[in-house]
Amino acid sequence: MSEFFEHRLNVNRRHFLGKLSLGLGSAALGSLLIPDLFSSSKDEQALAVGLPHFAPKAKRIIYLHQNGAPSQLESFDYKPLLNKMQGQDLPESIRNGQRLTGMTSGQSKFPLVGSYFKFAQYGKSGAWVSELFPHMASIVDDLCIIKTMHTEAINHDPALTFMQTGAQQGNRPSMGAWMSYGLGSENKNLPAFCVLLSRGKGNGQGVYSKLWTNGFLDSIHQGVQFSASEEPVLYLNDPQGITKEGRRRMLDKLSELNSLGFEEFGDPEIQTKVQQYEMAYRMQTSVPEISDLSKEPDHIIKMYGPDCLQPGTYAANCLLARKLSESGVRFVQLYHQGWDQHGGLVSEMPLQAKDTDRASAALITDLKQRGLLDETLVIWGGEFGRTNYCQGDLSKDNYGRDHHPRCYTVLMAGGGIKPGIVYGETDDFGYNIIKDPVHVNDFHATILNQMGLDHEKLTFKHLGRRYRLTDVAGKVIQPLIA
Amino acid sequence: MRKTIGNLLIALNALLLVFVLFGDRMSFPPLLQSVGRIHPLLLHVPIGAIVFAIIFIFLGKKTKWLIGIGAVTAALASIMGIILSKEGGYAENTLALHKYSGAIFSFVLAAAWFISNRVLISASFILVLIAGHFGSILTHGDDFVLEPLFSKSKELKTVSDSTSMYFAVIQPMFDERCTGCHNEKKSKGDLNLASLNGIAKGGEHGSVWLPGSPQASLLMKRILLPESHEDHMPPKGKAQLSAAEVQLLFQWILSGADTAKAWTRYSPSDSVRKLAEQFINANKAGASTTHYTFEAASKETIDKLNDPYRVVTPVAQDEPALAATFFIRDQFKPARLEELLSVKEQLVSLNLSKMPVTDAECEIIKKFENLEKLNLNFSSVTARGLKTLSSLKNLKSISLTGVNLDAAGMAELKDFKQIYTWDTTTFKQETLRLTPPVPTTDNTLIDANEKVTLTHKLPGIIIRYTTDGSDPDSTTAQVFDQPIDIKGYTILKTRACKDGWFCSPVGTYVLYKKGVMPVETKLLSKPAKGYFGEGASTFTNNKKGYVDDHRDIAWIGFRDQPLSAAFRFATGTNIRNITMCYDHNLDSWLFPPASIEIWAGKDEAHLNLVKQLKPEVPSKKDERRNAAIVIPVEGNYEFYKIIATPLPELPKWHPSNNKDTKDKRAWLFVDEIIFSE
Repeated sequence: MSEFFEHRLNVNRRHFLGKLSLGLGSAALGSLLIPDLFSSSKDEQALAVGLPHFAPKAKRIIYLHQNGAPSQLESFDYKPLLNKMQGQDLPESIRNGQRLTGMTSGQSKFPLVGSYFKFAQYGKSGAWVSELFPHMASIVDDLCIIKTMHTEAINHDPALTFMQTGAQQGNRPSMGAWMSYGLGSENKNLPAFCVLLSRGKGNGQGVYSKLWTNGFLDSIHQGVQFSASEEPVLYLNDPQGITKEGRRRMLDKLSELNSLGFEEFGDPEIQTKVQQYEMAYRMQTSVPEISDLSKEPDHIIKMYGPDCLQPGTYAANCLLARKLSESGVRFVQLYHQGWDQHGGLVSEMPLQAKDTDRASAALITDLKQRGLLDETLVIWGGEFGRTNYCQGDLSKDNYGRDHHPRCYTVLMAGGGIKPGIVYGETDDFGYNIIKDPVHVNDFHATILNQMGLDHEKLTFKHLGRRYRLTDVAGKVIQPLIA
Repeated sequence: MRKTIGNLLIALNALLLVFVLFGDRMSFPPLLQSVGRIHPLLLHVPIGAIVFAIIFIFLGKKTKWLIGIGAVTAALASIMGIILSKEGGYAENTLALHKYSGAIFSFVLAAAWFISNRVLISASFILVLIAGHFGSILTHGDDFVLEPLFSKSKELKTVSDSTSMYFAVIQPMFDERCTGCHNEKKSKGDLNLASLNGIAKGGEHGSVWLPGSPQASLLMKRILLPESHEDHMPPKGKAQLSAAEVQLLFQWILSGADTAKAWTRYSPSDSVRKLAEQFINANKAGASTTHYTFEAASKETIDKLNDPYRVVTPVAQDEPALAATFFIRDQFKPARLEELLSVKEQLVSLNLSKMPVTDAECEIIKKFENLEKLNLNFSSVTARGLKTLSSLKNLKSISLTGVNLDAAGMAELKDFKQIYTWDTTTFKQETLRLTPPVPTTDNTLIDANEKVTLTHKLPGIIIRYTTDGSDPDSTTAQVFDQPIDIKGYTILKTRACKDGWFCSPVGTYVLYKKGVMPVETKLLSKPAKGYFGEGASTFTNNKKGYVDDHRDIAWIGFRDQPLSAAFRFATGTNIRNITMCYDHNLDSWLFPPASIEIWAGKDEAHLNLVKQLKPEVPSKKDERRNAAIVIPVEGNYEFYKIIATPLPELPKWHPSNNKDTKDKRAWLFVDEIIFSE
């Protein structure tokens, strides 16, 4: 059987029905209509720049994901009671049947442990920030500190997948893919969704490409991972001996062949491919412009810290994120690994904080002074919180904390989010939420709202039902909105 | 003629059937949308035809031609109606009823034409009444016909300063969202929200609100239920309250639900007043969803302006206002900015960040009269250009980061509401440490004529370096000013310095110059199991291994037998140095060899021991690294044999050397043996 024949048999039911309904319709219309009219409307669906449902507050998002889950109790959720009750067992009335991970389920005692690091109040809002985050503390009036995030998962992979895609299982589109689908790309010379990875010195957890997948959306919405090397997008430059003109001619010919293929098989992925070739061609100009740091003035470099000169560090990624975002990239996703302090928290957490504190604050300040913070939403946070009791041995200057889904802290800045507020309250044990909970679905709904998207209207029909980032739940948290 | 009409009816009704069944998954181009909009015009033809057909039947006249006209136009009107419905904005349930009843009407009427049956004609008359009724609900709403008889006069209420909060915002909200079902005439759930009396009476479930406690108020409870909930109000499918309306209602009930208090008597900082003002002002401005008064530009005009380097989009769906952004500095030309004048009224946001914009272009920008937001970061505008822009009355925000502005320029900015320029005051400008310079080459094996260049990302850096293994200092060490010629095995140490910064820590890079290639390489002993590398060629394949990955086939490992390999060179080769590169990774038991023997001669049968050495055994744990031993040799030989013996026992200090360890032999891992002339 010839390959082409086989391919035809592979045309799936969806394509078949789509073609059938259109085919019958067109046939009956006869010569009344130009046959291309229908297929052009299909193009529109695949290629059109989406528009916000209503006037957006934010145009772009930079999501500084702190992978592994930083402890809220050593950063932004100050609980002096834990220091007073150091070593005492967590009361059962507080734990109240919360399930445990396999790592502490064998522990006979759950000794409470207070923060080793000192807290102080900062800014007009008087928010408490630990000494590990001096730079974030200095811009606390630009931050919205949400202390009452809560999630359903208790292990890294499902929790992270939930934060990124709105579902604990994989294969759903990531938040950035939804934005790309809903709003399109602002700058046609760069992907709408870029991913930057860095690794800290603490205990790390993996990140996988399923976190920036397009899921069932068109593959053009997939996140593009930037490399940590001097050349952020691999294989972008023409090989030696290929001229720009030659490349252009090759792409033109290729696109002709591909459109023949599309006419033959009708697979929309072919069109996506053509678009991707074209974007890669334009990226040959846009990416070098973005990765060139030599035009950044000295004081910007100093603000982010000298690490930003070393590709692949968190600071370098923050600076790159600013440059990408400034150039119209809809969603820049950073992951900084190493926040999983099951043990050795006292020695590891300062290293992690040192990696991220300065550059995160610098990014927000940098955006602000460029007039971009109003239209850029910056998010900082992990996938869940950490327990108020110690995992493993508790000593005077060392301890660890296990995973805690019931409450954790996430920061937001800019993008029409109210600055200088602390939202929600946790109990004195830092274990349960007592006021204004924010579920992951609510968090997503609020983010989409800031981007001018109604989370109930941004849907994609797949496997017989319409999917949303917020699935069947979620509400916009109005008090967070400026 | 008859045949043509018959065929036409079959074709049209078949198409209609397809549209009814698959319409949900179709989308239509704009041309067809216009066709769809003829639906309200055309639908009157079949109605007229069927009404006259009924009359004609009573008069005993021929009806076939009337039914024919009716059936054809009914099918056409139904198809158009489905196209029109794709534009959206119709109540879903009513739409479905209208769609199906209309389609069935078309089918029945066509059938009536084919078999000329009076029962079918009568049935289609009833069907058209049903379809028409639902259609009228779609366009005119419920109770359109009877409304003037029952509803009180609908004069436009104007809000004055003395109007109560209730009549200014709350009652209008009910009128818009609730009184369709909850009025004097039609009081679902026995509730009438159309008047204060009705509200005071409450509904079948009790009173409407409890002043001061919105959470306990039935009205709020119903509104705040999830939309999918059966008891949620307004019911699913009807127009919902906006978030702002819900909040206003909530706050108003919280504040005591005073129906008499004038809206101006609430303090300006009161949240009820703040929320209400949005609605009151919106009413004054004409109550449209957008606050812009200009018309939207045509889609063609906008499409024409869009390309990869200039993006022009509406700020949101159904908004006439546009935002434009330019990308890629090389692609910017003033003419491309001028082209935007075709939407000069609609443009409210213009982003020219990093574009080579000068004062001359400000004359163009000036013409965008409704511009609210302007980004001129890193442009070349000066005070003169900013003066030009001062005529833009709506400009609220201007970004001028990276623009060199003198005092005169700064003075021009006083009229703008929001200005963004450099401001780094939040960050203390402390002295920071630089990062070390890096070599441009990724390879540690350097080609014979390759030179090494050191770079640093920051401009104005002084790079110093040494090649003798010592740490370069910041004052006397060799300054990097030209590419470095590496000889053999070199430890390149570098340091970056700059005024206002601390010098970088020392950066260390181990480099090897590629050597002479032997004509033949032979492995004479057996490598350790699982660590064969690529066999004999491993030594000379110019592949370096990673320190931590000794399973990498760049490495060849020895333990049971010593490394023994033979290398034959072309006549006249003059070897001066032999560099054995090994994995120095003491934690993983990878040690330098205990001893090395170099045998040389003119062929394998005539070899003499020319060199023997015992490398130092590490005396403590140290950093794992790609290390090398350089062995100088004399004389001219064509044949070399190298024997390197792994350390027979881990040193005493090694943590694994304890009584539990049976086999204490260390390993030797080699990736390259370089012969240099």
